[in-house]
Amino acid sequence: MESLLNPAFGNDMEREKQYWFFLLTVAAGWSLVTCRKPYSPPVISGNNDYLVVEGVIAAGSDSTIINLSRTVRIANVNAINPEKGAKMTVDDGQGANYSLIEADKGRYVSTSLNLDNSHRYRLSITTADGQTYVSAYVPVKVTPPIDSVWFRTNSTGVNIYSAAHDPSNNTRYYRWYYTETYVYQADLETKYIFDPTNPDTLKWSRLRTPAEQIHTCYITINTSTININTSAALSSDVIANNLITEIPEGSEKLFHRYSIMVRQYALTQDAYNFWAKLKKNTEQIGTIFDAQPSENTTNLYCISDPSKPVIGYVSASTITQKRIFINWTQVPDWPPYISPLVCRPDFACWPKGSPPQQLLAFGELVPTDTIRSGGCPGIDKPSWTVPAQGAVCVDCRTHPGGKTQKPAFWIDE
Amino acid sequence: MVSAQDSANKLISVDFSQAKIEQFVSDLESKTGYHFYYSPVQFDSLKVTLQASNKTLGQVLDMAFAKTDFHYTIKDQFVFLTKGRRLYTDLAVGFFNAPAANNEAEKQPTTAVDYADETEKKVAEATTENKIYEIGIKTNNIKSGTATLAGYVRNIKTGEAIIGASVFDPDSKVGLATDQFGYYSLTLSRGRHTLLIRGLGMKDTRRRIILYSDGKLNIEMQEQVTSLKEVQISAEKVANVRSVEMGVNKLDIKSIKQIPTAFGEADVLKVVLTLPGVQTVGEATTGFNVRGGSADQNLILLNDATIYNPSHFFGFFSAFDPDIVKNIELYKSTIPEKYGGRLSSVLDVTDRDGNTKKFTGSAGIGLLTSRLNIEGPIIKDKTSFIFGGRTTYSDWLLSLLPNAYKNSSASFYDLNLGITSQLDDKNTIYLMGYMSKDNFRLNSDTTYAYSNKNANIKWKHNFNNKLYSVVLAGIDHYDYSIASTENPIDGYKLNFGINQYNFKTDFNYYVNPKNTIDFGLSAIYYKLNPGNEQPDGAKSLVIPDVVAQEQAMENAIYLGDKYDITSDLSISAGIRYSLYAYLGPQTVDHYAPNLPKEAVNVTDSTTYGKNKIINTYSGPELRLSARYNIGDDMSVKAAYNSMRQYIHLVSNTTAISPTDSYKLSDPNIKPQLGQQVSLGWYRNAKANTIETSIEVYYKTIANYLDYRSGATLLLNQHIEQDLINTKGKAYGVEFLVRKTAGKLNGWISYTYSRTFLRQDDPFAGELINGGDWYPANYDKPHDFNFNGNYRFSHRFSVSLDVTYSTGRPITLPIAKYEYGGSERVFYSDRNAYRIPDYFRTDFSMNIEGNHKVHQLTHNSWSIGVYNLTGRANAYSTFFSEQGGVINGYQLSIFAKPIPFINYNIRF
Repeated sequence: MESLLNPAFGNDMEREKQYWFFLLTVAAGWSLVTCRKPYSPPVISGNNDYLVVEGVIAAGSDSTIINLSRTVRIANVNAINPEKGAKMTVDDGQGANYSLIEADKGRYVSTSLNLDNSHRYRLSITTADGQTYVSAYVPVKVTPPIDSVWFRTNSTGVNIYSAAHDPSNNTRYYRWYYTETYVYQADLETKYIFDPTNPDTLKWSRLRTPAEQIHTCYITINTSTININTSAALSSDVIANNLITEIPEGSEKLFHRYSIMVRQYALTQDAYNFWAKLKKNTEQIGTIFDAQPSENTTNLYCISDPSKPVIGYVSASTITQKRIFINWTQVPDWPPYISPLVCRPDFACWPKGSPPQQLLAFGELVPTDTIRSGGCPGIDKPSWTVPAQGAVCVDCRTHPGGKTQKPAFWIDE
Repeated sequence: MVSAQDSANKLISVDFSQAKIEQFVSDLESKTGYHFYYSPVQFDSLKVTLQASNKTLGQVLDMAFAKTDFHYTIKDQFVFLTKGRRLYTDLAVGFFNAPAANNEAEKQPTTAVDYADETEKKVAEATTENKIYEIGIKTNNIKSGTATLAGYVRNIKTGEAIIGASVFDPDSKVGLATDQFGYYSLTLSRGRHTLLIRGLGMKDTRRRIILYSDGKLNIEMQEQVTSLKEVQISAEKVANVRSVEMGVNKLDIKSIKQIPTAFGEADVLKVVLTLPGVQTVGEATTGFNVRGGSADQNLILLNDATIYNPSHFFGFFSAFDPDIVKNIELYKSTIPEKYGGRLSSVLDVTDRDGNTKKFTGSAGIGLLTSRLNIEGPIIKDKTSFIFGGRTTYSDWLLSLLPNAYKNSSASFYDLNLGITSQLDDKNTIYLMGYMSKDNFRLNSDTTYAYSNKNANIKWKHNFNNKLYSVVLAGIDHYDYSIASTENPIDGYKLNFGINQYNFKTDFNYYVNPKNTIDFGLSAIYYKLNPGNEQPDGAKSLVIPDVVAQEQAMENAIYLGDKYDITSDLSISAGIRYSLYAYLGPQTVDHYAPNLPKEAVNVTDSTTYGKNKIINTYSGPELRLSARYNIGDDMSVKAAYNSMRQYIHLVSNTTAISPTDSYKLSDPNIKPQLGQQVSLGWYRNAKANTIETSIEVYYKTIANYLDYRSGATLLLNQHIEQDLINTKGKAYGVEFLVRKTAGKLNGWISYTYSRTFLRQDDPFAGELINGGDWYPANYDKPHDFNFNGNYRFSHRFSVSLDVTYSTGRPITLPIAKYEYGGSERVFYSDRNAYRIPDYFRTDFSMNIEGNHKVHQLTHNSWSIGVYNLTGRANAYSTFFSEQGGVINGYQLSIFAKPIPFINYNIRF
């Protein structure tokens, strides 16, 4: 509803909504005659913890990763509710049986399965509460290689595309999953680290080792949109100029160096329809303004209680992938980085014999030089002083997602 | 001094060239010494060109008036000139062995008979009823066989046609109801008859006739000012049991005005909602659903003009001015073959004709609106007009809104004009014009406006007593616009518009008393502008976005026959064949077969030139019904109907809102097809004062339009990609008990009905609810209505209105989860849950001023309370996200009792 109060409306749905909102507001204006009451029918306030299954049975050498979770009440703040302690297997109904192991909360993994592509496989899950869920047997789709991933600059930013084709015309339905990684650097660099382990206080600010550097971070973002396409209407199975993602102009992703890993999955038509529908449902919620939401389809069901809804679609395919790097030098005219921060030289000081200043100890302030004796304004007693900067100015890890560890795949320019 | 006989035989010579009546008369007066009486107004169209020598006065007049509608009568030294009918100088009281008619009557064996128009007021009522009217060419011996009597039934006070009045001969049990022009045509055996004439809200009357040969009789009826006991029988009640039609509800404005509404102003559509089989998705919406049909499947006609948006002011008012409306008819089952183009129903709203006798008017003042209407003769007894206007002053209401909306405004008006002109006995012209406009602005930002504009002209021509035709030409227009200039950079103006050009010819042929045939053709040319967005203001950077105009032609021919097989069994069979053509210029996308209509599946597109036929749809529509009488007051009826619809409302909401657009059928959007079978039982009790009926129906709909998730409807260049065809089925049973006479009158109706839709074609896109049947948005199984009016005295009555219905279905978000990298919402099956049930009670008191007939103005008050029990009915439920938490809310519009007051004045 928040957007409805915004007078600037971009699209037509919004206009329609605005009309209805106006109508409701007019009605609401009659404070004497209208009222808005909380509406919470039992079905909404009830504990609808349906099993959610997400993942692909990787037929080739890739790891199979299946995420299990439970739905939460719509009134919950957090939508993530991992399902722990389940037993999970993949089988072909002809004797082959592979187990998955819970690697992380709700994340079940198996290393390369190298399945027989001519067989059909299914996923069986026994949850901790003893319920058994199975998927339909699904064929193994062999994913053709990604022909290329490339980018193009236009007036609004950089678009990244992929292309693929299947000479046998068997694939037809495609899904892509991408992971972006880019370099983020703090505004300023400091060579010093606060390390109070040394008995000599003067050496509490010492030079950083390369592993301790906090100037350059790598930020990784996974897909949050559903990316699917089909060549079903074409005479040959060719996906050309498939838009993977858009990087808006001025995005920090391209201030230094950027990389994208695109994973390609072949889908059955059913699986494609599942994703297409999920994509359409997006984030809308059931107000009177909204279009009818479509129901969720699934190829899973609960054996012990067939009426119990299950969410998700299990498909099996090989996975192909391609990574590209884009350096800021490759995108001419990218607007210069303008820091939103104001970074002024600061310092930290504390009386000798007292514990170090808290901001320093907690990393809010980061030393930019060695510690010296005295020079603490307003303190008559002997004191320690060290030049410092706010962490947001020198520590790239303060940026959301910032990690200093260089990923194994990363190739510098 | 010459004797009368001498001067009548006196030979005169005349020479007129384009002589006006004054010249003509003064010349003859000077030559014969006779004195002429005539009405200059009636004769202003007469131009006499005549040369004659040595002729009698009678011969001269014969020649002058030959082949015209003018007549003369010579009596003593006087000549009476009349138009439209002859004046007989004999006593009209007929004796069977009346003296032979005078020479003139024999020479002029015209059909003229009734001269009640001018004389009735002077003639005592009883005399009119007891007078014997001689019809046709009088002969000494009445021939055997039958003859046809035809004419109009009119209101004596206003000259207005009375629709649905029954003209009945109790001896032969032959009778029928007048049509929408008040016209009747009855074939009777020659000889003496006494006709009983009954009309809704009129005093019953009778006419004694001697039928010699085919002839005309116009009947004038008096309004039933007070409810006297002897006139408790209404025409409609007899019609209920006797007519072949089923699923038809007729209401006159009197019953409409008895029903309390939220703002005290009589509302045609709100009353329609209380009829069995009619449902709505909620208060403050004007769209209605008939027997499981969607809101756009109703053909809403105002004097034969199609009204696309029948609501004002967010649906709180309907677009029909209650001071002008005469009656409404809702066809739910037997839809006459002359109507087509919509699947579910025809709502025929008829305005009154203007008063042909004198100028009158009325005015009403309510909390939100004021109304004024004036009517009167343009040419007395011949041409009349009626004008009505309505406007609102609702801004005070908006000033009660929160501060953020202080600068909002809303207004509407509507104007109605009707002109009726009876050119002569055989020709009548009806002109109508209608215009409505709504404007509302949200906090000086976005301005919405919509408007209906309609005009048509109808010409009714009577070929003879058995055959008449009505030719109609008209234009119907609807448009809306949305504009915003608040932010100069993205100022825009968006328009939608539809133009419909109509041409229709209807023929009605009374073959014999048992057989009536009607046939005709209609042509509609649609021009639709689905959306046009343009920058508004010099600084606007909005890129124009125009969806190409659409054109189509919808033609139909029809033939229907109503036949009485026996006096108890009647059938009515009709066929309508419609032919629809979607016309260029247009670019049409082609989709790969057996794949959903999605952008990725477009294989090709073709561009067609202007007026090129892109594709056509055609097919027959059958309208069959039969009635069997079981005794005098009971009947059973059965009907089968099929319908086709080529124009579709595309709306994300369940009601009609001003931002909905329409779509014509094209190669990708098939016409909607509907079929209905229904069976009914009708019984009238207590001398037809209590009418009961039970009707059951089963209906199927093919190619019913539903929407994909997240469908964008406005400015969508490829709207077929967001639409899906579904199947529909609906069934139900409707009970109605109605009492229209006596101190207590009103009706009780209960309907049990279900409406389901199904989308089970995986190639069409997403399956809904796994391809199972799911309830439609307006599926409300139980629907109960009570409308009662109790008259304590002629001046004071109270009305009570009770409504209960099951809450409408809703799809609820019931859980959320993370998938594909984002938070998703898990929905219940489509329409698997319902909002709370609806219940409302309204009460009103109607206080009339005194009933003295001869006073300058009559006034009345209506005072009442809407939603007496103050129940907070859910208008809608909605879900709103705040801080990542989704909460549900229920909004009620009229959550407390609302008092209202209305003052009406008639002059």
